[in-house]
Amino acid sequence: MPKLVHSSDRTDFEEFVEHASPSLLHTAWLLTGQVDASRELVQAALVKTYVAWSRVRPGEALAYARRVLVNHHTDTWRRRRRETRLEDMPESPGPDRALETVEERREIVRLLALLPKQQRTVVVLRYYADLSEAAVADLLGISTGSVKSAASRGLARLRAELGEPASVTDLNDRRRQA
Amino acid sequence: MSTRFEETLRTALHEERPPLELTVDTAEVVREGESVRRRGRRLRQAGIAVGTAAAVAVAVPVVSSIRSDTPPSRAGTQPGIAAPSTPGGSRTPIVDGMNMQGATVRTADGGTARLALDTVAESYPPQLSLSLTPTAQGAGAKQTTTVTPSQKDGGVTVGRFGDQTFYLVSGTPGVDTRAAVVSGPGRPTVPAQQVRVGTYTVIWPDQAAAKRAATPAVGVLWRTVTGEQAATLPTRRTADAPRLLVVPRPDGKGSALLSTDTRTLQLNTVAHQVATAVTPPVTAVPASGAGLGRLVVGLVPVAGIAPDGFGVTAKVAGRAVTPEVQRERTGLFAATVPAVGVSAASGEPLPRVPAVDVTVSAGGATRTVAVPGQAEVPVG
Repeated sequence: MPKLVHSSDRTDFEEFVEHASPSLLHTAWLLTGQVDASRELVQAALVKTYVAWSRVRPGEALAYARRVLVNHHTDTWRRRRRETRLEDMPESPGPDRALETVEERREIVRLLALLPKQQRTVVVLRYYADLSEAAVADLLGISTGSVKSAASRGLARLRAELGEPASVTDLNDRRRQA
Repeated sequence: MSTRFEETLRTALHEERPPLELTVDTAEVVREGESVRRRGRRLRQAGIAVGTAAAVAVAVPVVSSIRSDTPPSRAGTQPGIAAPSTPGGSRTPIVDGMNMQGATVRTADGGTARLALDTVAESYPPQLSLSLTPTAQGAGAKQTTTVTPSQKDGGVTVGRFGDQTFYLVSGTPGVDTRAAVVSGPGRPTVPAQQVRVGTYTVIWPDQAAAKRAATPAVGVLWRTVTGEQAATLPTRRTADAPRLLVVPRPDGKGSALLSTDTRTLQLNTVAHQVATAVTPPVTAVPASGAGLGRLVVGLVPVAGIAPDGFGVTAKVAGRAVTPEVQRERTGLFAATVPAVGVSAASGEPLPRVPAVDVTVSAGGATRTVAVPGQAEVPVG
């Protein structure tokens, strides 16, 4: 039976929510691109975190809540994917875009919607949550190789949609990394 | 080492600003959490094997009755009003004579039917089972049912009985039963009726008109006891999809819906629809045509996070005031002039309806519009 949440714990939790909700909402927004879905996702993650609050180690609450959020997102997607209607799907933008820097960055965010579920999640966790490949693999329950593959394919798709081929500089970076 | 594109991506994701309306209610989280804990304890005491208490919130639907006067988002979550649950997931009809009787709506074929709420599954979010029963007892008349998830305050769920679409929002409707379904500029706005089902409101469009319109709805407007509300619907993100902004009403009683296709700017309330041609580079129009004072809405070509010199200033009876500006990356904006005090800065009493001017600047262009100040401005 779970322990009762004492008032001091509740205060701690409320402070945690105030502190963590911007990051969680931001993550959910990047994962879904929908206000209602983001709100539902964060609400569900925080409710589960509240229930488990007495077992959550200090300093790991945000990671715990983010894990719950991502898992809930995956579960929800699995339940609903067959119900997704065509009219809810974003369209690929046209190729004729001359993008300023800021506009281009906003376009990148919009293009996240074009990525398959796992690629989008990996990209958000790697480049927004700044998690390592190992941490993402652990969170999603997949191998590090799968994370690398998803990230690589996700970035390649975003590049392609932006009409930006892999540059020589980037390829050199890749080689140096290897 | 990261590539240049990875750095750009990282910057883009961090710079992205979620919509302002995307917030979380801490008190609501705690209430839901307490509800899950209580349900978990009850189920365990009843000897029902469940997984973690957290799993109860999402995976195990527990059907309970709700009282018609219980706020929807708190149904079964507060001590003393939590209705007895029915372990095992069986469905229990709600105990509310009105809801069992349902409300009459007009169907697409021109007939009438009774729309009723049958059960509320207390999952997360609660799932509503609704039935539609034709009132005419023809040979082909048969009851249809649908299950629709509910939303928190302000959220809208799209539900369907076959090809008849309806919208579900939390909270009970106001006395005025009119509502509206908006499709954006240049497209017909479909009148709707709002029907109470339990502690929720169903916005039921004129189905025949909706079928004739044959355009995707982008927003809904409805009336509650405290004011008028607007909400956007999930839409296809095509280039020609209307851009939308839910605008708070200056009187604090709800919201209105602003939309544009970049050629026309349209402001909708339940009773009004005002459309104005877009006049680049800055479009700014008073909302008085929709019955709203102290409000200017508009469209500017450059929006988002770039510092583009966008600014709004306002004067009431010649005195500078600070408007409250809501601006989206779509370029849509709304500026609300505050209700001013009893006198101008000079000490002179303000006229009953003071002159209000709002100036919008963007990209080097400016536009000034006069806005009715409304008689609600306090006068000494």
